[in-house]
Amino acid sequence: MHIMEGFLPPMWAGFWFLMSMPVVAYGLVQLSKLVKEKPEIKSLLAVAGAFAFVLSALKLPSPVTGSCSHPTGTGLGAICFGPAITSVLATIVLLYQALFLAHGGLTTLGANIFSMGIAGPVVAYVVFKACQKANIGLMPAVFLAAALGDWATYVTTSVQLAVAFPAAVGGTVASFKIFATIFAVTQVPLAIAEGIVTALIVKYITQVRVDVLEQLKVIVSSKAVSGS
Amino acid sequence: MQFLEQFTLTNKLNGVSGKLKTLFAVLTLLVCSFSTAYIVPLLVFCIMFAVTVVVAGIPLRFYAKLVLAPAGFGLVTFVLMMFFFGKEPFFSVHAGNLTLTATKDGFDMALISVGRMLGSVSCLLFLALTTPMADIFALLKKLKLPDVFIDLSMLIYRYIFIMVQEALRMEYAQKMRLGYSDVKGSFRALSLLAGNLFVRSWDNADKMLTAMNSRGYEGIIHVLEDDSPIPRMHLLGLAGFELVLVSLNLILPR
Repeated sequence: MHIMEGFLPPMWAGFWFLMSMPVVAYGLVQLSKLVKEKPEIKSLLAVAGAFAFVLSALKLPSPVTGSCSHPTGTGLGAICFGPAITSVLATIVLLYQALFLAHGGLTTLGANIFSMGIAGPVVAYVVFKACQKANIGLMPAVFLAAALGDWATYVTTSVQLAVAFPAAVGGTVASFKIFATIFAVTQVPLAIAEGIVTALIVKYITQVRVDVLEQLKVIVSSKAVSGS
Repeated sequence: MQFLEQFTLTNKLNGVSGKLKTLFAVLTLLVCSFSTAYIVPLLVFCIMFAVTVVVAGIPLRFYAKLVLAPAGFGLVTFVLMMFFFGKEPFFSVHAGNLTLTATKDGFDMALISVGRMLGSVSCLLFLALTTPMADIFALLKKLKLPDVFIDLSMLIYRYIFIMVQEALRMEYAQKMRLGYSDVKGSFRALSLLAGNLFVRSWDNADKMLTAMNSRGYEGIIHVLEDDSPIPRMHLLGLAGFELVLVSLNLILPR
């Protein structure tokens, strides 16, 4: 669940815009480079973006009832395109979520980009690369990356809310505990669910279209090695 | 699944310039989120509600459902902030042998935060329910955002609707075959759906891009835009309205 429209005080809303914009700008530079080099990749980028939107609109089979969260859908993007380009995709997706579903908002767009488009994907990417180095196999790597990336998004959201609304007694730490209980703890089962679903999606793609993942250099095949 | 966007072409404000509507929504949103008096956001909420439901003719039931989620979230936040975020005692609630003390500063913080949120949400809903995406794309272009960003947004916009439709069809087919009957089956069904959706949509997108390329697509989709200027009277009225809101903020106690 994103931070609701107008919920952050204006100073913090502006701060998170300032934090996210450089990353998104860098992502845009990388994106233009990628599209110029390989114009045909645009269809994949568009589908990945729309896919994240559709996933977040679907309901995850949640083991905990009453939890209002949904998958972030950005783990897959981070694994495929890296965090910078994913931040651009997330920006577009968040804009549409605000306009089509009234999830999140325009003033809180900066903060939501930072949590869902930057913090989550960076964690997912780093975890995925580390798992590949450790050679623990594709499925566990994807699972860990997506689950931890999803969870990192919600921990970031709790931090954002805590620094914006410190408690009078105990300050930011005390209010972080409260927000983290609402967002991050209830999110654990959902993060695991997102990890499982993302891993199963990647498994399905490896079964029917391995070439997709090879092209994106997510997995290295014998053909790709000889080709490059 | 109902998207807010479906009302943008059928509401009664369809004839009004998209630029004016966006300006109205965004300026009011800004004033609302900078408000220091809690009455201003609540006033904004009432005005936006009236404009969206009465003037634009969005069905009340649909609107109420949309407001329900932020309102519920607001209620939870309100209680939390009132009891846990302040110092000064305000009043106490006794429930059995448990005593909860509400705080004055927590109450004030809750009032302004939740008020601002509700006011802002109503601005967003106005924009989302009355302004077609095409007008917003035109505005993004005016703001000189990079072509690749706008182009990708347009493609994603197109794909969202195709994919949602396809996802719902697949889900329906899976449900007919007991696809979501238990937790394990739900995971299997959902990931089959998502994986299949991803691969199929990519195939289709590839075909579409080839078709577009053979028709002269060069990385930007050109759309005919409404270039008519906003009537000066409308702009003056809008400026007057925002000024009233700002001055209300200055006059009213915090």
